[in-house]
Amino acid sequence: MAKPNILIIEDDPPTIKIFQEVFTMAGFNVEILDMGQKGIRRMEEIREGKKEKPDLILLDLILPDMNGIEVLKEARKYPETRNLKIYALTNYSDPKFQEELFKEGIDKILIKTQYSLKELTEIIKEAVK
Amino acid sequence: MRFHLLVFTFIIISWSFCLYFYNRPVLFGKLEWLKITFALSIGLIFELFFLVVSASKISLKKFKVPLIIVFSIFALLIIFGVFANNWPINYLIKLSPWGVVFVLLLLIYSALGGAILLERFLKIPELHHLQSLYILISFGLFIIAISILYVFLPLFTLPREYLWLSPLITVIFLLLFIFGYFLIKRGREEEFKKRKEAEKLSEEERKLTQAKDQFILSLQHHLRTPLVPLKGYLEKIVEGSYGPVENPVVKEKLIEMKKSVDLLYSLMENLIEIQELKMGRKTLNLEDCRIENLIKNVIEELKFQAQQKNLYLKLELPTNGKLPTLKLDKRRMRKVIWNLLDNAIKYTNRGGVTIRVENQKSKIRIVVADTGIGMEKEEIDYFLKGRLFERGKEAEKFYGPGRGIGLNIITEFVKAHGGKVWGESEGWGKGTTFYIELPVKD
Repeated sequence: MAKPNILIIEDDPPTIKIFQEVFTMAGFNVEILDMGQKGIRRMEEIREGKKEKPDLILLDLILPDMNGIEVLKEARKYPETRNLKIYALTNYSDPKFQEELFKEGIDKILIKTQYSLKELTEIIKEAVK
Repeated sequence: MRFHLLVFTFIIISWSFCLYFYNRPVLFGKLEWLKITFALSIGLIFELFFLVVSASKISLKKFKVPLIIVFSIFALLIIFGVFANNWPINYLIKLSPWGVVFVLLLLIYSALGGAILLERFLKIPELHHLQSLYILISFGLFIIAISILYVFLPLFTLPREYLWLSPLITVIFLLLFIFGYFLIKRGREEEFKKRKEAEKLSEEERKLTQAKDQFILSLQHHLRTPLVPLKGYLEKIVEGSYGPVENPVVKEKLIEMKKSVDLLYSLMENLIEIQELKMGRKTLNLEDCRIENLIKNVIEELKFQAQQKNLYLKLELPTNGKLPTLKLDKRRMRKVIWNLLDNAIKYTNRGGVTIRVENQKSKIRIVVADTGIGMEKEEIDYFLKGRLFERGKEAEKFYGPGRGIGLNIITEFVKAHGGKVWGESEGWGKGTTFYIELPVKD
């Protein structure tokens, strides 16, 4: 069975490092994009058929160049990327903002610190099943 | 309103007296009494007008122009009456140049009075207490002045050497009027300035609060971010993902580190949660809950801590009947009870902690009494009211922030449930008792 592809849009280097390590060890193909603009570009590439669809996108909300919600909006705008599974994986837990995320069609919101790496791995395994 | 009513009553009474004396003249002749009655009638009309205006709360702004016309006609009529009749003013004009000055002063005087009244009633619907008093004093003087002109002056006009008295009296009135006018003006400006300042302050406060809230929201992201790898790596090292940690001392230290990171994490989460509850950004997740079970669970968890210090941990439930089921946010209420008991155990070295649950009409009271080091009344207030963070210096002399955060969590969570928290202590060394009251909702 092919390894599930996980796309992580995240900017904090130590966080990237540990996620990459843990999720690769858990048996996923991990790809990291460290800017919101790169995430949007990736959505375009998926639309044009240049890149494969990931099985799951883990999206950080506070990115250096934009708010993660923009990437989500871009994905939900077009039929080719509308059905992508996108989880917000963030440290920003403002309930008002969460409401907005759900309105834009996020599949799940995970607060990074509220889960151990084991729990996170389990959640991701469940998601890509 | 009350002032107008008072003056109105006073004028009515005086007016009826004058009418009485008009029929049975004492002191002055019939005509003089008629003149006083006339002057009082003018006052009556004015007062009636003000009474109607203040009672009906009509905004006079719309009627500005007609009102000015009516006032002007009224003033002209009085002045015309002064000239047209064979009354003392004519003698004055004829007899001395002072008379001309006198008439001019009278004109200014009425104009000023009218201006003040107009300004007050056209611009500000609600009058300041003091300001309405000044208007009434001015107005009263106006009436007195008319009375003097029409009634008493004839007495003075006869001996010519007393003529100078009338302009003098008028000048005094005029000065009083100017004084009153500037007082009102200043009062008005001050009031306006104060209102403006208050508006500005509250606006600034609102902006500051907003900025603070935003700051805390962004802070949560930044504070949590380094915790992710910190927590993650520690977790992996301790569980041996990078190979066994062979040195037992290193392992022990790592476990200590993990504990501290977990504590840091839980403190931060609590603070963020308190802030979100305070801002109304988060709501409680209410479900049916048996508080006694929740307390039992927490006791079970903290038993070991108490045993280590040789303390008893007693739970007393009401002997008469069962406790009602409460609608609670279980996770948060658990934190409340946990923090209360944890604090009680932490600050007690002999004796122990008693938890009593009392079933009261429409509410449940939880009493946590320890035999510990106790607290000063002031100190309890600091912590419960969250003033620890407001009054650093005074609060610092007690404990530092350790105990404060726990109590702050307790207060905010209980408040969010619609409950109450308070504490009592006889002072240092005499134990502390905390009370929580939770409403029983049907």
